[in-house]
Amino acid sequence: MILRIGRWGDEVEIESPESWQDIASAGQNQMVRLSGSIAQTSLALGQVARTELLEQIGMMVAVTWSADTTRDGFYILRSVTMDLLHLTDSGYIGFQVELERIGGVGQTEHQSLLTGALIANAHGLAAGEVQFFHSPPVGALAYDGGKVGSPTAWTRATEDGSIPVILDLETSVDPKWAVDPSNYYDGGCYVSVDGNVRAGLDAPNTPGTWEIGNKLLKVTPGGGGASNGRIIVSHWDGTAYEDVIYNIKFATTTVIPEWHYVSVIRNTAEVVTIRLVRDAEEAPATTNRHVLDLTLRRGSLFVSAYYTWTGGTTTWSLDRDSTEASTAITPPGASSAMALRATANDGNGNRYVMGSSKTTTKDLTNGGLDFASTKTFDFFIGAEVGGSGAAANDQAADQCLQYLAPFTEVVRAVRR
Amino acid sequence: MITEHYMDPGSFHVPLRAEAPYDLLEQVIEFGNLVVTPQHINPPDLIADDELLTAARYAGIVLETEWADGALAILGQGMGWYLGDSEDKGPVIEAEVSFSAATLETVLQTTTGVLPAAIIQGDINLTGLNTFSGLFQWELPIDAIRTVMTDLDAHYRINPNGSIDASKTTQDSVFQFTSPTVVVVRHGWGSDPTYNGVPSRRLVTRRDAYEFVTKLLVLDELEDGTFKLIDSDTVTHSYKDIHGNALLRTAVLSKPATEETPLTNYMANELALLSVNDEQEIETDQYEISGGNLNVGDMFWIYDPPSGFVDTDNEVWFRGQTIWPKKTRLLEASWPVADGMGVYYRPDTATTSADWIDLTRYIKWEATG
Repeated sequence: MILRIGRWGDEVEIESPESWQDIASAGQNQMVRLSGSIAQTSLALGQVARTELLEQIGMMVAVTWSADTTRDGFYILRSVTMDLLHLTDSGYIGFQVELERIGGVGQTEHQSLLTGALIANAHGLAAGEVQFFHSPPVGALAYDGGKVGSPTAWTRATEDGSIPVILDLETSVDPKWAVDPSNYYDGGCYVSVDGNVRAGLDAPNTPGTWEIGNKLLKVTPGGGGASNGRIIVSHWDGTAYEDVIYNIKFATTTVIPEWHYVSVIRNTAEVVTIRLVRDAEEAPATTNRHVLDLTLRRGSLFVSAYYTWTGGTTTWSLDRDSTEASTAITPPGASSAMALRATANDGNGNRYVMGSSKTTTKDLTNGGLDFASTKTFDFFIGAEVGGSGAAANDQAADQCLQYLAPFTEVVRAVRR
Repeated sequence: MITEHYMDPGSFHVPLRAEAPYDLLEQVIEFGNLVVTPQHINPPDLIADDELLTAARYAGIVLETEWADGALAILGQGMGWYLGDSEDKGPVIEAEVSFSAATLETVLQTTTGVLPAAIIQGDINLTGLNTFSGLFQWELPIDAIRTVMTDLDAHYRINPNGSIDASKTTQDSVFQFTSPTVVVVRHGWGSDPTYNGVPSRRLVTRRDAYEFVTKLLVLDELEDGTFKLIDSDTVTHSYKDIHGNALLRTAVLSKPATEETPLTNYMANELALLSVNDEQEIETDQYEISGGNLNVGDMFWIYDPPSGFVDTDNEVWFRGQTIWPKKTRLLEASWPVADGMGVYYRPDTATTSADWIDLTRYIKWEATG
């Protein structure tokens, strides 16, 4: 019997609770009280299980229970008690959970509160020329974008299945959609640190073992477990993730060799952000810092990044770690090239894409973008999966236009 | 708890512990000053009186001492009280003072201007300001200053050392306007290399139409006893009454002391204040924000799309995402007197900081959360 409370139970099977109480009071939402025990193969995994349940306090979570699917639905996690100090002789850890029921899939749908505008850019692109897009989870149905005349919709292949991508949304629209609780996190964004999917913002500082993903792509640190400063962007091609490695250069020549801190800034199924921080290690040390924020949205084929340097202005480079010739990409309506795309398909049949809203000097021979003297710069890294055969709306030019049209998204459950 | 207001005295209520020595407390009387410094300076006479006031986080006038259950509480208002209070009491301007095309610097003077002796001129930034023409008599300085500020689209701040700073509302010299550094969000708060994110533990937003008017009428009584009516332009709006007529609400005001003809600037600025207001009440855990990176009167960014706090003209990169916050001004902040601060009573007869009474050890500290 499998229990899942939000992300808890996603990686490790949680056995059926010993007690499940449904409590109904007039004029109030139903409450559910669970108590039971979980068994982990190690204390470390028990600690992870404790943290990831506690981190979901106050959140809306999708709950499924294989022993009684009539209780599947959407809840707000109100309280958690877990006592790691009192392991039983059999290695079980007791827990108690209180949930407030919002409703099952029959009475509950979701509304994405979207706010978006054009990113100010150096390529002459206006709001009407970019592509505002939004993706509900894999398996979502009854999407209502509120737009007279259906917006363009297509699908992308994720590790969890086909995810809908809705294009040409009105920036003032808050679309509604419905999904079964068992699919709520499918195709969604996640953060993993130290090999464990995290439910909240609390995670150990292991800059060599983090991972963010949205089942279309994932981003991991280079270095094989110890950060070497590189960023690996891997796209799902239908059967496997295919790696492409990038580096960032300070003053255009010095490769950032390591990140010292990793923090989870935002962690929801619709968007995740992690922050990497590096001590500048100047003499004296800690006089300045590098900060790199990586953001991934559900349904996106690219990861967005924002780099901040607290020292004086200098030049920067974003480069392929292994040289790979590229072609400049000027999206429709743009007055200048915004991105680079690999000239030829790589060994996996894909073509990398990297671009920025800023003016950059393109290194077409080796594959890199050079930024003029600055303290901050933004960029995105994506890929044409399938290379020259990439589907319409997934190509390099499209990713440029989608990058310049970000949404901030807050999802809430609403009654039908 | 100390409450600061934008261009208003505000108030304070500082409770002391019952263990405070009585001989010290009996020296705390009305019309002395309560002074709060960011850190405890012990003894206070390490620093000169005027320098200590300049460095103070807050200063106010003691107006009430309250004994309850053997403990003293000190209550009063901020330094703006010296300009007059809400009950129309204060250093009334008795001798007429008149201005003709005068700069703000000229108006904000003691003796020849509208300032009482208790408040001296500080930093006055004249950039972008017009001149003022008008006269004042039988008015409180606070009312005269408000008229001038409304006429010139300016604002002011009374400092703990009893000086007044002023500038145009769109200048950065008195309050932060152009590039706020504080961002208030409901989710995903935290620091950033460029901005300070403030978590809103409780975020209440109100859209208040009670004060909304579409037009102003000013009655000017002439020497012959007749009245001259001066009306403003009608505000363009889309609101209707129940029968589909354009909503009409007019406010009748007494003629202000400005001699501007035809009162165009004054009425336009007054109409801007009498509009539909978006008001936010933010409860935050970070008390250092007020007085640290964010002072009452400063502009800050607030981003909360469900509440309508969005302005797509403002693009801010904050913690990995692009957001479009609204720029808004902090009008009021209430913050606790917290452990670590220095709290002093400065007698009204004080001439040096050696005369100050250190109350820090006896304060009943309030929680910062």
